[in-house]
Amino acid sequence: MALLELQNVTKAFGGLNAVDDVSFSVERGELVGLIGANGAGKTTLFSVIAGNLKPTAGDIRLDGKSIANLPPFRVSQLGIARTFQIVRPFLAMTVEENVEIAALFGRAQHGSVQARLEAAEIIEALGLASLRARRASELTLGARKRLEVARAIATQPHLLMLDEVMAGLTPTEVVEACEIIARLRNDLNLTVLLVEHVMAAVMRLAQRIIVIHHGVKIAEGAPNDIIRDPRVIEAYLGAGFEHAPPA
Amino acid sequence: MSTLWSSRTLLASAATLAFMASLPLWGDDPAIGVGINLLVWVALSASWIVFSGLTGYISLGHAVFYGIGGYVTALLWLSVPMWASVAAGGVAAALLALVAGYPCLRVRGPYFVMLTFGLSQFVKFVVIEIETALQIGGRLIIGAPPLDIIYWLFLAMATGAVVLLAVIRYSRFGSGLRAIREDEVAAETIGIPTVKYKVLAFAISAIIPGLVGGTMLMRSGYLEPDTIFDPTVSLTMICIAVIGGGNTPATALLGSLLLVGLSETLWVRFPLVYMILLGCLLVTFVLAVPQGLLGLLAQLRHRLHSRGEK
Repeated sequence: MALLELQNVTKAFGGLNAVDDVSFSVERGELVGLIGANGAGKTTLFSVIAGNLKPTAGDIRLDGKSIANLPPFRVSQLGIARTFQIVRPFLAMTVEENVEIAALFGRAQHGSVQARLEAAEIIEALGLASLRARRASELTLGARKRLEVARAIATQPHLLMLDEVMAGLTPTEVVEACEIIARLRNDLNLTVLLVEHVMAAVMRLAQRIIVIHHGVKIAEGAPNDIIRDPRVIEAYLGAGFEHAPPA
Repeated sequence: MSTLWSSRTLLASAATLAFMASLPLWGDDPAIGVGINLLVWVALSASWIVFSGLTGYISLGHAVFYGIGGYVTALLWLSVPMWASVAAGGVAAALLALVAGYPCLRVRGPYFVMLTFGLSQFVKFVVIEIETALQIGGRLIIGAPPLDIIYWLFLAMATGAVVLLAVIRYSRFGSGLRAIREDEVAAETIGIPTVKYKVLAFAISAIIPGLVGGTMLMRSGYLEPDTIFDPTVSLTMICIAVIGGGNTPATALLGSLLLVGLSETLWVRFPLVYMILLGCLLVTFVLAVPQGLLGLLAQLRHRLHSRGEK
């Protein structure tokens, strides 16, 4: 059985379908990339899965059980964690406190001693050890993105949903971030759904890519097939581009 | 955490508690009166911090819990044992917070502030209407316990509020509340049941104000809805938290100490301009010392420390 399964999920805002009849599934252990132009509905889809938004129609199943109408805290307790594209750290708290609180709740539900140990490990794994006593408000954007990932992981999810964690990072930082994600996935047995604009990262990490355009799924497949798909090229680069001579 | 439970802190707390507990044994009535004033504000402001200080939802209506506690105690006076009528006041306050909290806590920021203020005024005028309809101008409380007993009751409530705040602040529940204060959407997304936590904290923070209201009634011996539901009570709780700074037990203790100390000395000397002076003090704190007394002390300690190292 697939870990996550979306069946004809639609999210409408007024007359506009931000997510339109999308179905796909993610197998346990998989790393799936979700791509599409700005405004395609990727973040909305994340919010619908995580319970931050209710779907207008369709069903979402985690391990076969519907989670479509659960509040976000229940979805988190069942093992789905997400990051936010515009990061939302607890600004007045230290890096340590941010991660510890997540380990107290979520699916982890650790006691305070265990939470502190787990948090220290995760902070170390994400290369935040030297910043552990700093307030989140003092961190650079790059460090805040790492903190966002650390906090999500501390809830001990089955499924980790990363929303553009590499946007705004330098090429070196992107390579580093890819390595961290790959390592975490291995070490923690994570299933990952990755929204990303940095194509190099998606190509490198994803086993499968799903393409969303105007809220509709237009393609799904292996990374190398996806970048040759005319529908994807059209959606990303505009009609007629596929006739251009190869560079 | 370590600073709170350190042996020095515990020793200082025990000494303070022993000193406060012995006051009726050596102090005269006016001294006991000042002590009661201090204890009442510690109890009320610490309770207020349990909810507003930790969650960041500013309640401008906590006077309603104090008032309803007093009113329920007056209604039940002499028809049940004395302790039961006071306890009923606390229960009534918590129930009111549970019922009102659920709808009120759906909104944040200024809307929540206005709702809580509206709620406290609403309940106040409902009670005034009821009393008028019953043709009761005020209720006399006969057979209240002597002043020293009342003092010790207030001491128990102040201690209870401070311990409650300390325990909650450093618990898992308190961590959840502080996360809500920082970012409610993020808090919910990492698995914190935000609605349940907020309503629960609101109800918990109403209990002791309810008990204090009932006990205050025994002290004054007379219930008048206008006085017991006075919105100044809400404002003063906030003033103490602002002056104290932060959201710890020390906030309530320092803030109350300064406010009560000033009001006792100013009130005696400048009865006419006393409120004006207090207003100026609050403005000064908000503008010049937004981190409050607690933040000021931390800065001083930091400065002394770094000088000592040189």
